[in-house]
Formats: sequence, structure tokens, C-alpha cells
Amino acid sequence: MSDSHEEHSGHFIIPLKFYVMTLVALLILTVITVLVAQIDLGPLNIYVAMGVAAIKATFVILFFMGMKWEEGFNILIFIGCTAFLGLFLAFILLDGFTRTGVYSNEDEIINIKSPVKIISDTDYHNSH
Amino acid sequence: MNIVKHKVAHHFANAHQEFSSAKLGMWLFLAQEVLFFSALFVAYAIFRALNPEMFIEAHHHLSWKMGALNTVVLIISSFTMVMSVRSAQLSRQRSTFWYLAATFFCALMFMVVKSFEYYEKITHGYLPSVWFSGEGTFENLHIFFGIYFTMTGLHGLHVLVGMGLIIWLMIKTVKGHFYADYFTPLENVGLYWHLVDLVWIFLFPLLYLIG
Repeated sequence: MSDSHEEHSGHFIIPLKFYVMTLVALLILTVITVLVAQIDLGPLNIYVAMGVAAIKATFVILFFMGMKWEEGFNILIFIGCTAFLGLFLAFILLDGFTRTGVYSNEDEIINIKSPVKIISDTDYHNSH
Repeated sequence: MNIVKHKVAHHFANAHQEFSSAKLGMWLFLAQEVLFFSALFVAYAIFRALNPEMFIEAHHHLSWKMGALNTVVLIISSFTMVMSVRSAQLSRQRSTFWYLAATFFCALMFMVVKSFEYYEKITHGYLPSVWFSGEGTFENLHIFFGIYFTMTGLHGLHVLVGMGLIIWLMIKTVKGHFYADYFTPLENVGLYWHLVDLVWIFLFPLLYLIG
């Protein structure tokens, strides 16, 4: 970058190719995520969808947000934030996906009235 | 276009320190934003874990085509945003302005598509919580729409705030405030705009593309 004519007063200007490549990668990954969602992979679908979303997020953070060239302390803030987000989600998911039947009688106990007009499966499919 | 020279505020040693401080503040704000949205994603995870079939049923009420269109629109807007910052770094004020205008147009398009979607849900009575009056085969279908409207609504609010900020940046650009030595507001609004894009990158598969 020392001989670049695009450099001013110490601000590093990110080469254009990174932006264009990120744009193309994000568009391709969007197509992939939509296509994969049309195939029924059972419980795998959510992992594929989240995996693709994570790759897209990495592209946005590294290049569009310039994390690749960011100052150390700002990277630390971001990593800290992501770590706590992971911690939050991990414990909730551990809890949420491992308990079963706890809420089966809740409607009767709390007497919640559902606002949903219940229709049969056949009626539903006729009207949609 | 003319250039209005930026004066470094008196409590900073130099322009670089001023720029780094502003970015540090912005990153702290963005970290807070991620944690703020994380609570909503956790709510989504809990309710989906408890009602897996209902979620799959409910997402058929959303149009993945509209969601995909909005995803593409936001990705393009993120690209035009970085291009606008880059143009300012090269002191190209005219292209800074037009890239900002393109970003604003994409944001507007996102909101138009969103409002079509909302209109369709509202006319069918698929509103959150007690306002729900739609039909469905699951008695807790309204929970999905509570989550849908809260998450996309707060995200939409962020888009609207972003649109306001982009207008402000366009005015500042026309007045000649941004050039190679000073583009801090552009840079920071850009970071905010990418975060809005990031949130949508996760919202789209979670709400529209449930297997």
C-alpha cells in the first residue's frame, strides 16, 4: 500500500476487489440457501441454513465492515460480544431442546384462550 | 464540488485519534445492538423448540420470494454503502452522493416490499398476540406471528433509522463535508447499515426458509 495513489493521510483504502467479491459471494450464497431450503433434509435443513448464514455474516463482517483491517481493540469488542451471544444461545438451546412434555397441561392450568380460529387440515388446504 | 475542511475537536490529539475514538464508540454500540437482537433470537429458539410443527406450518404463510428479494436488495445496499465510503476516501464527492442515493433507494425498496407483506398478514388477521384473528390448524399459531412482527418490526425500524441517517449523509456530502481526510460519519453509518444487513441475513432463513 506504500506506493498506492489511493492512500491519503494514513487511511487505508480497501481494494475494490474485496467489495466486489463479497457482493458476488453473498448473492451466490443467498441463491444456495434458497435452493437448499426447497429440498427436505429433515432436521439438517436448519443447520445448513444457519451454516450458510454464518458464512454470509463472516463475509459482511470481514470485508464490508472491514474487520480484516480493524484495530485490535475493536476486534476484541466484537469477539467478546459474539462470545456472549454464543453463551446465551448455547444454554437456552441446551435447555429448550432437552425438556419434553413440561408444558403439556399448561393451557388447562393457566386457562389461556387461543385467538386462533382452528380449522381442519382439509379446510385449511382448500382455503390456501 | 467544494470541500469544507474538517476541524479536529480540541480534546483530540489528532485526526487519527478522533477517527479511532469514533469507531471505538460505534463498535461498542454495535456490540450492544447484537446483544439486543440476541434476546429476540433466543425467544425464537425457545418457541421453536417448544412448537416445531407449528413453526413449519406457520412459515407457509410467509412468501419466501418476497424474503429473498429483500435479502438481495439489502445485500446490494450494503455494497453501495461501502462504495460510497470508498468514494469519500478518494474525495470523489459526486459518486459518494450517488452511491448514498442508491443505498437509500434500496432501503426504500426493502420497506415497500415489507409493507406489502405486512398488509397481507394484517388483512388475514395474522397479527401478534391478542390481536390475532386468523385461521390456522395450530392453536398457538399466533406465537409465530408475535415473533415475526417483533423481529421484522424492530429490524424495519432500524432500516427506517438508517434511511434517516443516509439522508443526513447526503446533505453533508452535497455541502462538501466528506473528503479523503474526513469521512467518520459515513464510515460509522456504514457499519450500522451492515449490522442491519447482518440481522436480516439470519432473519431470512429463520422466518422464511424453515425446512
